[in-house]
Amino acid sequence: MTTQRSLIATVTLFVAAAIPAAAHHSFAAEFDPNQPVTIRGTINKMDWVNPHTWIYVDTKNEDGSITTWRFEMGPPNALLRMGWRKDSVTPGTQVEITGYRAKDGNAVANAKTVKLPDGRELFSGGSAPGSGGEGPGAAEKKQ
Amino acid sequence: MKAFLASWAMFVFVAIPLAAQAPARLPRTADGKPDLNGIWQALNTAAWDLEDHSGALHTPPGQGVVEGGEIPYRPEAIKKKAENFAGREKYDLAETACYMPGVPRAMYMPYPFGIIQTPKLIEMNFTFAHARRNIIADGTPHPDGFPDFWMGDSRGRWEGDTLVVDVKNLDERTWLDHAGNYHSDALHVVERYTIIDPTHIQYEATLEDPKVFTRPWKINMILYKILDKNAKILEYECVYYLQDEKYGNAKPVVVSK
Amino acid sequence: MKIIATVMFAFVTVSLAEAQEQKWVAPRTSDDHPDMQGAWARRGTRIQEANGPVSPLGEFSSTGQPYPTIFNTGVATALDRATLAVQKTGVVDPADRVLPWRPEADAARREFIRHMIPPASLQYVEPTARCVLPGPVDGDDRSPFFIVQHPGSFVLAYEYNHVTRVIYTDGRSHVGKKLRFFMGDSIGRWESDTLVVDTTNFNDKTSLAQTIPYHSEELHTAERFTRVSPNLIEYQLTLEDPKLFTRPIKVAGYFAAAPKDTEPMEFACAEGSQTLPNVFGIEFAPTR
Repeated sequence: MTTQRSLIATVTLFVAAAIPAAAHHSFAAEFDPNQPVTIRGTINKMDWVNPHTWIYVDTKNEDGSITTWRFEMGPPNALLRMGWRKDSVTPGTQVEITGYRAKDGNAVANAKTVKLPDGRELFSGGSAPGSGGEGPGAAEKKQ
Repeated sequence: MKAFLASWAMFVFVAIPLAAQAPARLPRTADGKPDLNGIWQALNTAAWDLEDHSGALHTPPGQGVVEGGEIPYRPEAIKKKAENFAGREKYDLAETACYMPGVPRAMYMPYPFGIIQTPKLIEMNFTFAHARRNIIADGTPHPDGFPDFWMGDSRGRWEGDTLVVDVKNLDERTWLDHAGNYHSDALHVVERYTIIDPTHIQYEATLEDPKVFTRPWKINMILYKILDKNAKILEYECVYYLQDEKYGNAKPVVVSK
Repeated sequence: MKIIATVMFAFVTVSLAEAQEQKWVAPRTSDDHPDMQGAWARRGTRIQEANGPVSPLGEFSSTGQPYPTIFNTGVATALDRATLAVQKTGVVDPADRVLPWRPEADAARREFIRHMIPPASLQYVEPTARCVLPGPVDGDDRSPFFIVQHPGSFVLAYEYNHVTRVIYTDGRSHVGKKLRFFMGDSIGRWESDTLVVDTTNFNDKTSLAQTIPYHSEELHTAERFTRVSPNLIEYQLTLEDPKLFTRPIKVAGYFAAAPKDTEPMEFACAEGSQTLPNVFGIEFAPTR
């Protein structure tokens, strides 16, 4: 393939409407759209597995006990291509994470957004921390 | 007489140099490399057991493919191997879950696989679990901070007429065979593919894993080209059938509001 | 050397052609077919029908996001939106997207869909949620596709679920009728500069769309791949299943060039899937 730089206008193409509801994942079988959750806590770890990356978030309950929530995210390959690496996200990082709870009522959910205390969203399509400049995913999230 | 001697002299003259390099008539790709494209298969029983093994229940006999005969386990690792062997009908995930078998085991599963060769990328597509290896041959190193993969991260380069593939990031849950020979997440495999004639590849792999073995060790075997007319890699999607077996009569536990 | 010269000539030809806004000509492979090799992002090949049942699988489409899982990010492409905006996508025949259902088949799938959320049993779980091979339409288009061409074959390697379609173009026939595969059996031929792929020998275990949860073994598809520009392959899929439809339907889409340095990564599916354990409460693989 040739690289006609002068003719390549806007790079990137995203998501949402452009990528129809395909794929492999039976969200509706496992998760409940009527049970949105918002969890504030600290990142315990991430499992970088296909077909879903998992992020574990420790949240403190009122009685001082800790519940570790498991959030399901998309496949890691997209993140890896944007420059994210296994150590990009430090355990102990505070996050506010929203999603939809598993139907079986466990501390499991399908993640929608992961926000840092300063309001920045992680994994939203922007480049990884420290990778400098906008990654290929940055241009737009929705059409 | 002279003609007879002359013909013998020609034979001797030509034969000796050929023994020292790849055959002159070897098919080559456009970029001058030995052409490994095609369908290949190992014809041994290493998938059952890499070491010498007699015939036993569900186990065909075979002479081992390990150079030196025995895998050099660390003393504490020998126990783990024995536990694996005892539990193999449950814990060998390739067999009990149809999970991808990892490297090097995929290379000697007893089913054909394809090699699809381009200058910067060599794909191998396996019958078993439709597994695939993507061997990146563009000179890039293993990326730092990548997760582990069931088939590892493979980076290939040519040393003369030998394809050398360096494999890391292998998921520790794969086994080296059905006998419970295993490795840790520190496994590093270096493979050498040397085509010795158009239908045979000498395959050698060096395995290094200081958490499990006392030293690096090698396996060696021949890969045979499948010449049957219209041969192709067929689907062996065994996961589907295992799922049927496990969940076919199950009721869902989740109940929607 | 001949190949390098040919490619360079084509490169120069393409540069001049685009500079002069003339019709672009694809570089050729050594066996003189259009060269479509490289990394691509597939788009648009989805069956969305008019008058279809509301699928409980697609509850989030009204929010503009197919499902809430983050990283809906797809493969980046080097195509501008003006080019993409004119590409045909989705069902193009029938033009009104009212699919030519056989009435009994239409009724049967509407009834079937009612039992999918929650799934009444294993057979009602979306096949791709089980990480089964995706069949002729499905697949996760957030991951790239890789095309490799050799004389006699055209390989379409999906990153998703490591699907590898080796489409032989050497004139061979389909495999015997008793053989049944999730991806079917594909053979290809060149019609001028279009690769035409004929696929038969499907099993009946894959889904065609959220509103078409299954098909029969009589499914027969024809695909057309035509590279129209450096960064675009136009794609058309014809699906024929006499048990479902009274005539074939056509779906259009395209493959847009992914960044040149895109390398295939492993996308293991069954090994990490939690869907069936979550739905049925039974672990799939034993862990120690």
